Amino acid sequence: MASQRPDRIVEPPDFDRPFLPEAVFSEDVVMVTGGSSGMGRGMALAFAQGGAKLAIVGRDIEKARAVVAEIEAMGETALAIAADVRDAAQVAAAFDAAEAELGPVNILANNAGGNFPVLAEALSTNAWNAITQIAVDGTFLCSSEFARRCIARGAPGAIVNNSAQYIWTGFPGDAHSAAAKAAIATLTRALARDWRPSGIRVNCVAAGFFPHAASTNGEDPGAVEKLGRMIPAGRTGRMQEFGWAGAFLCSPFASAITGQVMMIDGGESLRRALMSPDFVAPNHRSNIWGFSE
Amino acid sequence: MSRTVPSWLADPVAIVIGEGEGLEAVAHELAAAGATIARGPVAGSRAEAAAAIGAASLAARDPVTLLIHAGAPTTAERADLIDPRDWRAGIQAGLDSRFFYAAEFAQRLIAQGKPGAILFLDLTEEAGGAVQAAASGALCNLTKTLAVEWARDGIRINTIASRVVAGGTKAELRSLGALAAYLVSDFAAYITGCVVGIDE
Repeated sequence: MASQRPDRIVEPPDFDRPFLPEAVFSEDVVMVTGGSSGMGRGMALAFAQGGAKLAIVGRDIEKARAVVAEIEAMGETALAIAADVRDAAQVAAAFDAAEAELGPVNILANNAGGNFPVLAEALSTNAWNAITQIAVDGTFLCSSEFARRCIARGAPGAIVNNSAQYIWTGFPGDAHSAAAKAAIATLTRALARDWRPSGIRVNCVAAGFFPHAASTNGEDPGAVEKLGRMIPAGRTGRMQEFGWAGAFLCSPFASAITGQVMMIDGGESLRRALMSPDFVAPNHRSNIWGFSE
Repeated sequence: MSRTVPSWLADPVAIVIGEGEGLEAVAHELAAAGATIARGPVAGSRAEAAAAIGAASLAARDPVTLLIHAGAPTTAERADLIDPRDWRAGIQAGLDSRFFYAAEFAQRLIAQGKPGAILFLDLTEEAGGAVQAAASGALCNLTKTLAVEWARDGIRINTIASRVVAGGTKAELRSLGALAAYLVSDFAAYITGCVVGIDE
Protein backbone atom coordinates (compact mmCIF):
# COMPACT_ATOMS: atom_id res chain seq x y z
CA MET A 1 0.00 0.00 0.00
CA ALA A 2 1.20 3.49 -0.87
CA SER A 3 0.38 4.97 2.51
CA GLN A 4 -0.94 2.97 5.44
CA ARG A 5 -1.80 5.58 7.99
CA PRO A 6 -3.56 5.27 11.32
CA ASP A 7 -7.27 6.11 11.46
CA ARG A 8 -8.13 9.48 12.90
CA ILE A 9 -11.71 9.29 14.09
CA VAL A 10 -13.15 12.62 15.16
CA GLU A 11 -15.79 12.64 17.91
CA PRO A 12 -18.18 15.55 18.46
CA PRO A 13 -18.17 17.51 21.73
CA ASP A 14 -20.15 15.89 24.57
CA PHE A 15 -23.81 16.83 24.86
CA ASP A 16 -22.96 18.80 28.01
CA ARG A 17 -20.92 21.29 26.01
CA PRO A 18 -23.51 23.80 24.84
CA PHE A 19 -23.83 24.23 21.09
CA LEU A 20 -26.35 27.05 20.62
CA PRO A 21 -26.61 29.86 23.22
CA GLU A 22 -28.40 28.77 26.40
CA ALA A 23 -31.55 30.83 25.84
CA VAL A 24 -31.76 30.58 22.06
CA PHE A 25 -35.15 28.81 22.17
CA SER A 26 -36.43 30.36 25.42
CA GLU A 27 -39.39 31.99 23.64
CA ASP A 28 -40.20 28.86 21.64
CA VAL A 29 -42.62 25.97 22.00
CA VAL A 30 -41.32 22.93 20.13
CA MET A 31 -43.44 19.91 19.26
CA VAL A 32 -41.43 16.74 18.65
CA THR A 33 -43.36 13.81 17.19
CA GLY A 34 -41.82 10.45 17.93
CA GLY A 35 -40.18 12.38 20.76
CA SER A 36 -40.56 9.60 23.28
CA SER A 37 -37.64 7.51 22.02
CA GLY A 38 -34.65 7.28 19.73
CA MET A 39 -33.92 10.10 17.33
CA GLY A 40 -36.97 12.14 18.34
CA ARG A 41 -35.79 12.05 21.94
CA GLY A 42 -32.32 13.16 20.74
CA MET A 43 -33.80 16.12 18.97
CA ALA A 44 -36.05 17.02 21.92
CA LEU A 45 -33.06 17.11 24.28
CA ALA A 46 -31.14 19.40 21.88
CA PHE A 47 -34.05 21.87 21.85
CA ALA A 48 -34.37 21.63 25.63
CA GLN A 49 -30.66 22.48 25.88
CA GLY A 50 -31.49 25.77 24.14
CA GLY A 51 -34.25 26.55 26.68
CA ALA A 52 -37.31 25.54 24.63
CA LYS A 53 -40.61 24.35 26.05
CA LEU A 54 -41.25 20.87 24.63
CA ALA A 55 -44.38 18.99 23.60
CA ILE A 56 -43.35 15.32 23.42
CA VAL A 57 -45.75 13.44 21.18
CA GLY A 58 -45.77 9.66 21.10
CA ARG A 59 -48.23 6.83 20.87
CA ASP A 60 -47.12 5.49 24.28
CA ILE A 61 -47.80 8.15 26.92
CA GLU A 62 -45.60 6.42 29.51
CA LYS A 63 -42.55 6.62 27.24
CA ALA A 64 -43.33 10.26 26.44
CA ARG A 65 -43.56 10.98 30.18
CA ALA A 66 -40.12 9.44 30.73
CA VAL A 67 -38.61 11.92 28.22
CA VAL A 68 -40.56 14.76 29.86
CA ALA A 69 -38.94 13.77 33.16
CA GLU A 70 -35.49 13.92 31.53
CA ILE A 71 -36.21 17.41 30.21
CA GLU A 72 -37.53 18.56 33.59
CA ALA A 73 -34.32 17.27 35.15
CA MET A 74 -32.48 19.66 32.78
CA GLY A 75 -34.53 22.47 34.35
CA GLU A 76 -36.82 22.92 31.35
CA THR A 77 -40.56 22.55 30.75
CA ALA A 78 -42.18 19.72 28.81
CA LEU A 79 -45.55 18.09 28.27
CA ALA A 80 -46.29 14.48 27.25
CA ILE A 81 -49.03 14.03 24.65
CA ALA A 82 -50.40 10.74 23.31
CA ALA A 83 -51.32 10.90 19.62
CA ASP A 84 -51.15 8.89 16.43
CA VAL A 85 -49.76 11.19 13.72
CA ARG A 86 -51.71 9.27 11.02
CA ASP A 87 -55.00 10.67 12.34
CA ALA A 88 -55.72 14.32 11.51
CA ALA A 89 -58.10 14.72 14.46
CA GLN A 90 -55.53 13.39 16.92
CA VAL A 91 -52.90 15.70 15.40
CA ALA A 92 -55.18 18.74 15.87
CA ALA A 93 -55.92 17.65 19.44
CA ALA A 94 -52.19 17.34 20.15
CA PHE A 95 -51.63 20.93 18.99
CA ASP A 96 -54.60 22.06 21.14
CA ALA A 97 -53.14 20.31 24.18
CA ALA A 98 -49.67 21.77 23.61
CA GLU A 99 -51.08 25.25 23.08
CA ALA A 100 -53.26 25.14 26.19
CA GLU A 101 -50.37 24.12 28.42
CA LEU A 102 -47.27 25.67 26.82
CA GLY A 103 -48.49 28.29 24.33
CA PRO A 104 -48.63 28.23 20.53
CA VAL A 105 -46.22 25.80 18.89
CA ASN A 106 -43.74 27.66 16.66
CA ILE A 107 -41.24 24.87 15.94
CA LEU A 108 -42.16 21.37 14.76
CA ALA A 109 -39.78 18.41 14.58
CA ASN A 110 -41.33 15.51 12.66
CA ASN A 111 -39.54 12.42 13.93
CA ALA A 112 -42.28 9.80 14.21
CA GLY A 113 -41.25 6.78 12.19
CA GLY A 114 -40.42 3.13 12.24
CA ASN A 115 -38.35 0.72 10.20
CA PHE A 116 -37.39 -2.94 9.93
CA PRO A 117 -35.66 -5.17 7.36
CA VAL A 118 -38.06 -7.00 5.06
CA LEU A 119 -38.16 -8.50 1.58
CA ALA A 120 -40.54 -6.47 -0.58
CA GLU A 121 -42.54 -9.52 -1.67
CA ALA A 122 -43.09 -10.41 1.97
CA LEU A 123 -44.19 -6.92 3.01
CA SER A 124 -47.85 -7.02 4.06
CA THR A 125 -50.40 -4.30 3.35
CA ASN A 126 -50.53 -3.48 7.05
CA ALA A 127 -46.76 -3.21 7.44
CA TRP A 128 -46.43 -1.10 4.28
CA ASN A 129 -49.26 1.15 5.47
CA ALA A 130 -47.85 1.51 8.98
CA ILE A 131 -44.34 2.55 7.98
CA THR A 132 -45.26 4.78 5.03
CA GLN A 133 -48.26 6.45 6.68
CA ILE A 134 -46.47 7.29 9.93
CA ALA A 135 -43.62 8.88 7.96
CA VAL A 136 -45.32 10.41 4.92
CA ASP A 137 -48.89 11.10 6.07
CA GLY A 138 -47.71 11.89 9.60
CA THR A 139 -45.18 14.47 8.40
CA PHE A 140 -47.77 16.02 6.09
CA LEU A 141 -50.61 16.09 8.64
CA CYS A 142 -48.48 17.53 11.44
CA SER A 143 -46.81 20.08 9.15
CA SER A 144 -50.04 21.30 7.58
CA GLU A 145 -51.81 21.57 10.97
CA PHE A 146 -48.77 23.49 12.27
CA ALA A 147 -48.74 25.82 9.26
CA ARG A 148 -52.49 26.54 9.42
CA ARG A 149 -52.09 27.64 13.03
CA CYS A 150 -48.98 29.75 12.34
CA ILE A 151 -50.64 31.42 9.35
CA ALA A 152 -53.88 32.08 11.31
CA ARG A 153 -52.02 33.98 14.01
CA GLY A 154 -49.59 35.62 11.57
CA ALA A 155 -46.56 34.07 13.23
CA PRO A 156 -43.43 32.61 11.61
CA GLY A 157 -42.37 29.04 12.25
CA ALA A 158 -39.77 26.40 11.53
CA ILE A 159 -40.09 22.70 10.75
CA VAL A 160 -37.40 20.04 10.66
CA ASN A 161 -38.12 16.64 9.14
CA ASN A 162 -36.33 13.35 9.69
CA SER A 163 -35.15 11.62 6.53
CA ALA A 164 -32.43 9.06 5.85
CA GLN A 165 -29.06 8.60 4.15
CA TYR A 166 -30.45 6.09 1.62
CA ILE A 167 -32.94 8.44 -0.06
CA TRP A 168 -30.89 9.09 -3.21
CA THR A 169 -29.88 5.47 -3.83
CA GLY A 170 -32.76 3.26 -2.73
CA PHE A 171 -32.28 0.62 -0.05
CA PRO A 172 -32.89 -3.03 -1.00
CA GLY A 173 -34.66 -4.82 1.85
CA ASP A 174 -36.27 -1.60 3.00
CA ALA A 175 -38.89 -0.75 0.35
CA HIS A 176 -41.30 0.90 2.80
CA SER A 177 -38.81 3.20 4.44
CA ALA A 178 -36.81 3.88 1.25
CA ALA A 179 -39.99 5.20 -0.36
CA ALA A 180 -41.21 7.02 2.74
CA LYS A 181 -37.96 8.76 3.64
CA ALA A 182 -37.44 9.98 0.07
CA ALA A 183 -40.99 11.35 0.09
CA ILE A 184 -40.12 13.31 3.23
CA ALA A 185 -37.13 14.93 1.50
CA THR A 186 -39.06 15.99 -1.59
CA LEU A 187 -42.08 17.00 0.52
CA THR A 188 -39.71 19.22 2.51
CA ARG A 189 -38.90 21.22 -0.61
CA ALA A 190 -42.55 21.54 -1.66
CA LEU A 191 -43.68 22.69 1.80
CA ALA A 192 -40.83 25.20 1.94
CA ARG A 193 -41.99 26.62 -1.36
CA ASP A 194 -45.65 26.79 -0.31
CA TRP A 195 -45.00 28.44 3.02
CA ARG A 196 -42.05 30.72 2.26
CA PRO A 197 -44.46 33.71 1.88
CA SER A 198 -45.83 32.94 5.37
CA GLY A 199 -42.39 32.89 6.99
CA ILE A 200 -42.49 29.17 7.74
CA ARG A 201 -39.18 27.46 7.06
CA VAL A 202 -39.04 23.73 6.31
CA ASN A 203 -35.81 21.73 6.29
CA CYS A 204 -34.80 18.13 6.59
CA VAL A 205 -31.98 16.15 8.16
CA ALA A 206 -31.09 13.02 6.19
CA ALA A 207 -29.55 10.85 8.84
CA GLY A 208 -27.21 7.90 8.76
CA PHE A 209 -27.02 5.42 11.62
CA PHE A 210 -27.55 6.93 15.04
CA PRO A 211 -27.86 3.95 17.37
CA HIS A 212 -30.38 4.07 20.19
CA ALA A 213 -32.07 1.49 22.38
CA ALA A 214 -34.84 0.76 19.86
CA SER A 215 -32.78 0.58 16.65
CA THR A 216 -31.67 -2.62 14.94
CA ASN A 217 -28.50 -3.67 16.83
CA GLY A 218 -28.87 -0.42 18.77
CA GLU A 219 -28.42 -1.78 22.26
CA ASP A 220 -25.54 -4.09 21.42
CA PRO A 221 -22.27 -2.12 21.82
CA GLY A 222 -20.35 -4.86 19.95
CA ALA A 223 -22.66 -4.58 16.96
CA VAL A 224 -22.53 -0.77 17.03
CA GLU A 225 -18.73 -0.88 17.06
CA LYS A 226 -18.80 -3.23 14.06
CA LEU A 227 -21.25 -0.98 12.19
CA GLY A 228 -18.98 1.99 12.90
CA ARG A 229 -16.12 0.29 11.10
CA MET A 230 -18.27 0.02 7.93
CA ILE A 231 -18.75 3.77 7.80
CA PRO A 232 -16.12 6.05 6.23
CA ALA A 233 -16.04 8.30 9.31
CA GLY A 234 -15.09 5.22 11.36
CA ARG A 235 -18.02 5.37 13.75
CA THR A 236 -21.78 5.60 13.95
CA GLY A 237 -23.40 8.96 14.64
CA ARG A 238 -23.76 10.24 18.21
CA MET A 239 -27.28 11.30 19.11
CA GLN A 240 -26.24 14.82 20.13
CA GLU A 241 -24.95 15.41 16.58
CA PHE A 242 -28.35 14.56 15.15
CA GLY A 243 -30.13 16.72 17.72
CA TRP A 244 -27.83 19.66 17.11
CA ALA A 245 -28.32 19.46 13.33
CA GLY A 246 -32.09 19.74 13.77
CA ALA A 247 -31.80 22.47 16.37
CA PHE A 248 -29.42 24.47 14.17
CA LEU A 249 -31.83 24.39 11.23
CA CYS A 250 -34.71 25.66 13.42
CA SER A 251 -32.60 28.29 15.20
CA PRO A 252 -32.39 32.01 14.41
CA PHE A 253 -28.88 31.34 13.06
CA ALA A 254 -30.55 29.57 10.13
CA SER A 255 -33.30 32.18 9.69
CA ALA A 256 -32.86 32.29 5.90
CA ILE A 257 -32.34 28.55 5.37
CA THR A 258 -35.35 26.71 3.93
CA GLY A 259 -36.12 23.83 1.59
CA GLN A 260 -32.82 22.10 2.35
CA VAL A 261 -31.96 18.45 2.89
CA MET A 262 -28.83 18.17 5.00
CA MET A 263 -27.09 14.79 4.92
CA ILE A 264 -25.47 13.73 8.19
CA ASP A 265 -24.11 10.22 7.76
CA GLY A 266 -20.32 10.15 8.15
CA GLY A 267 -20.08 9.42 4.42
CA GLU A 268 -22.10 6.18 4.75
CA SER A 269 -24.24 6.84 1.65
CA LEU A 270 -21.14 7.64 -0.42
CA ARG A 271 -19.14 4.52 0.33
CA ARG A 272 -18.56 2.52 -2.81
CA ALA A 273 -15.84 0.70 -4.68
CA LEU A 274 -15.49 -0.29 -8.30
CA MET A 275 -14.66 -3.83 -7.22
CA SER A 276 -16.95 -5.45 -4.66
CA PRO A 277 -17.69 -8.94 -3.39
CA ASP A 278 -20.21 -10.91 -5.48
CA PHE A 279 -23.70 -9.48 -5.36
CA VAL A 280 -25.99 -11.52 -3.14
CA ALA A 281 -29.71 -10.90 -3.63
CA PRO A 282 -31.50 -9.80 -0.45
CA ASN A 283 -33.57 -13.02 -0.47
CA HIS A 284 -30.35 -15.09 -0.30
CA ARG A 285 -28.90 -13.23 2.65
CA SER A 286 -29.09 -14.47 6.23
CA ASN A 287 -29.37 -10.81 7.20
CA ILE A 288 -31.51 -8.84 4.70
CA TRP A 289 -29.60 -5.62 5.37
CA GLY A 290 -26.26 -7.42 5.30
CA PHE A 291 -23.81 -7.24 2.44
CA SER A 292 -23.37 -10.94 1.73
CA GLU A 293 -24.56 -14.34 2.95
CA MET B 1 -29.94 37.27 19.76
CA SER B 2 -26.28 37.95 19.11
CA ARG B 3 -25.49 38.57 15.48
CA THR B 4 -22.72 36.00 15.28
CA VAL B 5 -22.44 32.34 16.19
CA PRO B 6 -20.92 31.18 19.52
CA SER B 7 -17.23 30.22 19.81
CA TRP B 8 -17.62 26.96 17.94
CA LEU B 9 -14.00 26.91 16.76
CA ALA B 10 -10.89 26.57 18.92
CA ASP B 11 -8.73 29.17 17.16
CA PRO B 12 -7.89 27.28 13.96
CA VAL B 13 -6.08 28.93 11.06
CA ALA B 14 -8.40 29.16 8.07
CA ILE B 15 -7.17 29.84 4.55
CA VAL B 16 -9.81 31.61 2.50
CA ILE B 17 -9.71 31.74 -1.30
CA GLY B 18 -11.95 33.44 -3.84
CA GLU B 19 -14.13 36.50 -3.82
CA GLY B 20 -17.67 37.67 -3.32
CA GLU B 21 -20.14 38.87 -0.73
CA GLY B 22 -20.87 35.33 0.43
CA LEU B 23 -17.22 34.55 1.06
CA GLU B 24 -16.80 37.74 3.09
CA ALA B 25 -19.84 36.86 5.20
CA VAL B 26 -18.35 33.42 5.84
CA ALA B 27 -14.91 34.85 6.72
CA HIS B 28 -16.57 37.28 9.13
CA GLU B 29 -18.52 34.52 10.84
CA LEU B 30 -15.53 32.17 11.07
CA ALA B 31 -13.49 34.93 12.69
CA ALA B 32 -16.33 35.50 15.17
CA ALA B 33 -16.39 31.78 15.91
CA GLY B 34 -12.68 31.86 16.76
CA ALA B 35 -10.74 31.31 13.53
CA THR B 36 -7.68 33.21 12.35
CA ILE B 37 -8.23 34.14 8.71
CA ALA B 38 -5.49 34.02 6.06
CA ARG B 39 -6.07 34.75 2.37
CA GLY B 40 -4.81 32.85 -0.61
CA PRO B 41 -4.95 33.41 -4.38
CA VAL B 42 -6.71 31.17 -6.90
CA ALA B 43 -4.12 28.49 -7.74
CA GLY B 44 -3.19 27.20 -11.18
CA SER B 45 -1.28 24.23 -9.81
CA ARG B 46 -0.74 22.18 -6.66
CA ALA B 47 2.60 23.98 -6.21
CA GLU B 48 0.87 27.36 -6.10
CA ALA B 49 -1.65 26.06 -3.58
CA ALA B 50 1.15 24.56 -1.47
CA ALA B 51 2.99 27.88 -1.45
CA ALA B 52 -0.13 29.75 -0.31
CA ILE B 53 -0.91 27.26 2.46
CA GLY B 54 2.75 27.29 3.54
CA ALA B 55 2.80 31.08 3.70
CA ALA B 56 -0.47 31.20 5.66
CA SER B 57 0.75 28.67 8.14
CA LEU B 58 4.11 30.43 8.56
CA ALA B 59 2.47 33.79 9.15
CA ALA B 60 0.05 32.36 11.70
CA ARG B 61 2.71 30.08 13.24
CA ASP B 62 0.18 27.26 13.21
CA PRO B 63 -0.90 24.66 10.69
CA VAL B 64 -3.84 25.56 8.46
CA THR B 65 -6.70 23.27 9.51
CA LEU B 66 -9.61 24.95 7.68
CA LEU B 67 -9.86 25.52 3.95
CA ILE B 68 -12.63 27.70 2.54
CA HIS B 69 -12.68 28.09 -1.22
CA ALA B 70 -15.24 30.15 -3.12
CA GLY B 71 -15.28 30.68 -6.87
CA ALA B 72 -15.09 33.80 -9.00
CA PRO B 73 -17.69 35.32 -11.30
CA THR B 74 -18.02 33.35 -14.54
CA THR B 75 -19.38 34.35 -17.93
CA ALA B 76 -23.07 33.86 -18.57
CA GLU B 77 -22.49 34.14 -22.33
CA ARG B 78 -24.22 31.62 -24.60
CA ALA B 79 -21.96 28.56 -24.82
CA ASP B 80 -21.02 28.97 -28.51
CA LEU B 81 -19.92 32.54 -27.83
CA ILE B 82 -17.57 31.78 -24.93
CA ASP B 83 -13.91 32.49 -25.62
CA PRO B 84 -11.86 29.34 -24.89
CA ARG B 85 -9.62 31.38 -22.58
CA ASP B 86 -12.62 32.49 -20.51
CA TRP B 87 -13.81 28.91 -20.39
CA ARG B 88 -10.42 27.73 -19.07
CA ALA B 89 -10.11 30.57 -16.54
CA GLY B 90 -13.62 29.85 -15.27
CA ILE B 91 -13.02 26.14 -14.82
CA GLN B 92 -9.68 26.80 -13.17
CA ALA B 93 -11.20 29.15 -10.57
CA GLY B 94 -14.37 27.12 -10.16
CA LEU B 95 -12.89 23.66 -10.04
CA ASP B 96 -9.13 23.13 -10.54
CA SER B 97 -7.95 25.56 -7.87
CA ARG B 98 -10.27 23.93 -5.36
CA PHE B 99 -8.84 20.51 -6.06
CA PHE B 100 -5.25 21.78 -5.89
CA TYR B 101 -5.85 23.44 -2.53
CA ALA B 102 -7.81 20.51 -1.14
CA ALA B 103 -5.13 17.98 -2.13
CA GLU B 104 -2.28 20.05 -0.66
CA PHE B 105 -4.29 20.85 2.46
CA ALA B 106 -5.13 17.19 3.08
CA GLN B 107 -1.62 15.96 2.31
CA ARG B 108 -0.15 18.32 4.90
CA LEU B 109 -2.69 17.45 7.57
CA ILE B 110 -2.23 13.72 6.95
CA ALA B 111 1.55 14.14 7.32
CA GLN B 112 1.02 16.09 10.54
CA GLY B 113 -1.62 13.67 11.85
CA LYS B 114 -4.13 16.47 12.32
CA PRO B 115 -7.85 16.64 11.52
CA GLY B 116 -9.30 19.46 9.46
CA ALA B 117 -12.29 20.63 7.45
CA ILE B 118 -12.83 21.90 3.93
CA LEU B 119 -15.78 23.96 2.77
CA PHE B 120 -16.46 24.89 -0.84
CA LEU B 121 -18.79 27.78 -1.56
CA ASP B 122 -20.49 27.54 -4.89
CA LEU B 123 -23.46 28.88 -6.79
CA THR B 124 -26.14 26.53 -7.99
CA GLU B 125 -25.79 24.70 -11.28
CA GLU B 126 -28.42 26.98 -12.87
CA ALA B 127 -26.88 30.23 -11.59
CA GLY B 128 -24.72 30.90 -14.64
CA GLY B 129 -23.87 29.61 -18.08
CA ALA B 130 -21.97 26.56 -19.27
CA VAL B 131 -18.91 27.25 -17.11
CA GLN B 132 -20.94 27.38 -13.92
CA ALA B 133 -22.93 24.28 -14.84
CA ALA B 134 -19.81 22.22 -15.51
CA ALA B 135 -17.96 23.47 -12.45
CA SER B 136 -20.98 22.87 -10.17
CA GLY B 137 -21.46 19.28 -11.25
CA ALA B 138 -17.78 18.57 -10.94
CA LEU B 139 -17.51 20.20 -7.53
CA CYS B 140 -20.52 18.37 -6.13
CA ASN B 141 -19.17 14.95 -7.04
CA LEU B 142 -15.62 15.94 -6.06
CA THR B 143 -16.96 16.84 -2.61
CA LYS B 144 -18.54 13.40 -2.24
CA THR B 145 -15.43 11.64 -3.51
CA LEU B 146 -12.89 13.45 -1.34
CA ALA B 147 -15.16 13.06 1.70
CA VAL B 148 -14.76 9.29 1.53
CA GLU B 149 -11.07 9.34 0.60
CA TRP B 150 -10.16 11.40 3.66
CA ALA B 151 -12.88 10.38 6.11
CA ARG B 152 -10.52 8.13 8.09
CA ASP B 153 -7.97 10.95 8.27
CA GLY B 154 -10.46 13.09 10.15
CA ILE B 155 -10.72 15.51 7.24
CA ARG B 156 -14.28 16.49 6.36
CA ILE B 157 -15.40 18.21 3.19
CA ASN B 158 -18.73 19.85 2.41
CA THR B 159 -20.14 22.31 -0.12
CA ILE B 160 -22.67 25.11 0.27
CA ALA B 161 -24.21 25.63 -3.17
CA SER B 162 -26.43 28.69 -3.09
CA ARG B 163 -27.32 31.83 -4.98
CA VAL B 164 -26.57 33.62 -1.67
CA VAL B 165 -22.86 32.94 -2.23
CA ALA B 166 -22.99 35.67 -4.91
CA GLY B 167 -24.80 38.04 -2.54
CA GLY B 168 -28.05 38.28 -0.65
CA THR B 169 -29.98 40.01 2.09
CA LYS B 170 -28.36 40.56 5.49
CA ALA B 171 -30.36 37.65 6.91
CA GLU B 172 -29.33 35.36 4.05
CA LEU B 173 -25.67 36.26 4.41
CA ARG B 174 -25.82 35.73 8.18
CA SER B 175 -27.39 32.31 7.66
CA LEU B 176 -24.71 31.46 5.10
CA GLY B 177 -21.99 32.46 7.56
CA ALA B 178 -23.57 30.53 10.42
CA LEU B 179 -24.08 27.42 8.30
CA ALA B 180 -20.44 27.61 7.19
CA ALA B 181 -19.18 27.96 10.77
CA TYR B 182 -21.37 25.06 11.89
CA LEU B 183 -20.24 22.78 9.06
CA VAL B 184 -16.51 23.28 9.75
CA SER B 185 -16.94 22.93 13.54
CA ASP B 186 -16.69 19.68 15.51
CA PHE B 187 -20.40 19.99 16.31
CA ALA B 188 -20.89 18.82 12.71
CA ALA B 189 -18.24 16.08 12.99
CA TYR B 190 -20.56 13.53 11.34
CA ILE B 191 -21.37 15.73 8.32
CA THR B 192 -19.11 15.04 5.37
CA GLY B 193 -19.75 14.79 1.65
CA CYS B 194 -22.80 17.00 2.09
CA VAL B 195 -23.93 19.51 -0.53
CA VAL B 196 -26.49 21.91 0.91
CA GLY B 197 -28.03 25.26 0.02
CA ILE B 198 -29.69 28.20 1.81
CA ASP B 199 -32.98 28.90 -0.01
CA GLU B 200 -32.84 28.27 -3.72
